[in-house]
Amino acid sequence: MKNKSIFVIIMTVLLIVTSIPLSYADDLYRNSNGYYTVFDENDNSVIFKTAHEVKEGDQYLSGDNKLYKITRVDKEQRKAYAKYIEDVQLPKINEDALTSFVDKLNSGESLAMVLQAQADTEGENGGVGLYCTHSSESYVPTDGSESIEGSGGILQVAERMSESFQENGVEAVFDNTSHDPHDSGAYKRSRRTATQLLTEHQPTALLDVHRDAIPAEEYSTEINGEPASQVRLVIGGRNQNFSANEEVALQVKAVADKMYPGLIKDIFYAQGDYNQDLTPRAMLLEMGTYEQERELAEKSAGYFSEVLTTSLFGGTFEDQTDGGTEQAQPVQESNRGSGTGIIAIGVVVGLGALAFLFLSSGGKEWKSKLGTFKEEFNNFLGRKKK
Amino acid sequence: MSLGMILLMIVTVLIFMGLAERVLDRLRLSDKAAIVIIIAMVLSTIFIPDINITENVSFNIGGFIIPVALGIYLFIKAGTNKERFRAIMAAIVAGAVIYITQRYVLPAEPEAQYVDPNYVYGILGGLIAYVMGRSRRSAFIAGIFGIVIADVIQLIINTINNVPAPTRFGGAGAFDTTVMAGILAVIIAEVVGEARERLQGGTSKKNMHFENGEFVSSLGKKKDEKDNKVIDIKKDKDDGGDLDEK
Repeated sequence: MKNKSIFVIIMTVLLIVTSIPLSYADDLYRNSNGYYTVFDENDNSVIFKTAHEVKEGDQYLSGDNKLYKITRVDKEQRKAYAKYIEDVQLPKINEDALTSFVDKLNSGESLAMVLQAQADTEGENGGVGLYCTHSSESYVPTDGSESIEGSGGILQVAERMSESFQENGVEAVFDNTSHDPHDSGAYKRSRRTATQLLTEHQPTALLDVHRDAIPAEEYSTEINGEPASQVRLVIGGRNQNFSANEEVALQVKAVADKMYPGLIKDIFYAQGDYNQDLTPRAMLLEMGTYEQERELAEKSAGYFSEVLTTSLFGGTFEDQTDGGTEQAQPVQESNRGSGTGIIAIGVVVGLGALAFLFLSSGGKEWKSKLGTFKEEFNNFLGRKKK
Repeated sequence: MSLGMILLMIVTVLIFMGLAERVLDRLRLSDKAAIVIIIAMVLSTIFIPDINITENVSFNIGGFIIPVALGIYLFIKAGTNKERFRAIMAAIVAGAVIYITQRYVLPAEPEAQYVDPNYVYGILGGLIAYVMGRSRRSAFIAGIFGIVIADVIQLIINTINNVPAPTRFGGAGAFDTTVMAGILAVIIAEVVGEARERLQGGTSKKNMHFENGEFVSSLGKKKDEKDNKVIDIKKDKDDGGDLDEK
């Protein structure tokens, strides 16, 4: 009996330990032994390259809005194969509203003036909160190193983005707290910064600004004929706010594809939470990559702030809830994704409770435990126990 | 913010509070005490700012002071010195393992993470406490103090290396990793304990002994020492036999 218990404990520990990928936290891109190339399983064409580990089930939305799912991974050859799932329909933009918006911008009016003009009808402008979980991330050609503890180049990119929001008339708060060293524990430390931003400023959106660690060509583009870096949006797939955050990401991409085509590289559906469980308007941004000049990322930070400002407060989306198209709606007024989130919490909690009930009891115990469910709360509800 | 988003946030907080209440209930706190503690944690998160100790060190009421005080209370209330010793050992081992895991094991880049790091710490704390003492209280103490010790290690290393990163103990309040790890550790200990019990075909109270008014694990006890203890069968029955120790 005793041996059996020890066996179960050892197996449980082994199961959990082996499910954790072993790699030195800060060396992901330096020891990657080459890059993964992900192929379309139908025609063997290259979909994308990445220095990161990929695994079966990962999802990826390409720049041209095609959703892929990884089906096979060859670790030795550093190759993976993905299956095309569907063309994703981005949220419908009210062309008239956006054209009028962009025309005003092109005629010299600032975004702040345009927003002020429509502020009475669109409601309050809640602002944006920014922070950098990996505050030491830097850009090698400009900063001289990929990581500078205490003063990473990424802080200047986030600062530029914050200034740009303010130029657009959006209240932006950038918390430049250092969360060094650059490891997975940085998310534990940045969670404290994110919570303080939320409780002290109640921003409409919360942005965690990073830079990526893959080759420069993967992020190089031209915006308005000038070189710039692309932006990757990362959405955490395992929290109750996933649908709401995904909705915002898709809306941001829809606006960017109209205002600055090519600015948004793709949307990566990742496995962690990245503090996105704290609010349904959170996003992780990869502003270019470490092999690029920082100025390219700073330039894109300005473009991105215009795109996010337009998405959040510009009122450029069709209200599709009643099938009508007469009312343009800003993101901050949208309920999309909230229902899915609430249902997801209910399902997870319900299944978890049932699984535990199954595990902890059997047969008649089930009935007995369910029968005494009310009594469990009698004390708390103020009634006397029988 | 839209009504749907406000509802989503309210449901999230309520579910979190419900789960935390169930966990505290398992730690021999009354329902009322549990709910008062949780409400205090949530309200202090929203309304009370961090207490600055030095320029780079601060304490949060809901994420540090309350959970640590609760951990100390549970430690004092532990039935035997052996349990207290195991709780201390579990917390120290958990602190070291959590630090090593966050620094050297889990990948830093978001695209490479298979699971959110904040959940891993609680799982580790729960498993370590269960293996070392098979006690929910030890699991809670190991989860809370494991994170605190890992933060202290980081603070010392940052100070030595002149890294200007602040250490905000429990800075995210009720939603801090410290609290998450404590709650998750108890759940893990409970699930592992129930799974083990189910696999072995019933309660293992027969492998426990009665000491100072309660059942405690007989891990490390000599066989003849166990046999000499009187087992209170009635109390065993009332306890539901759902885990080695309550």
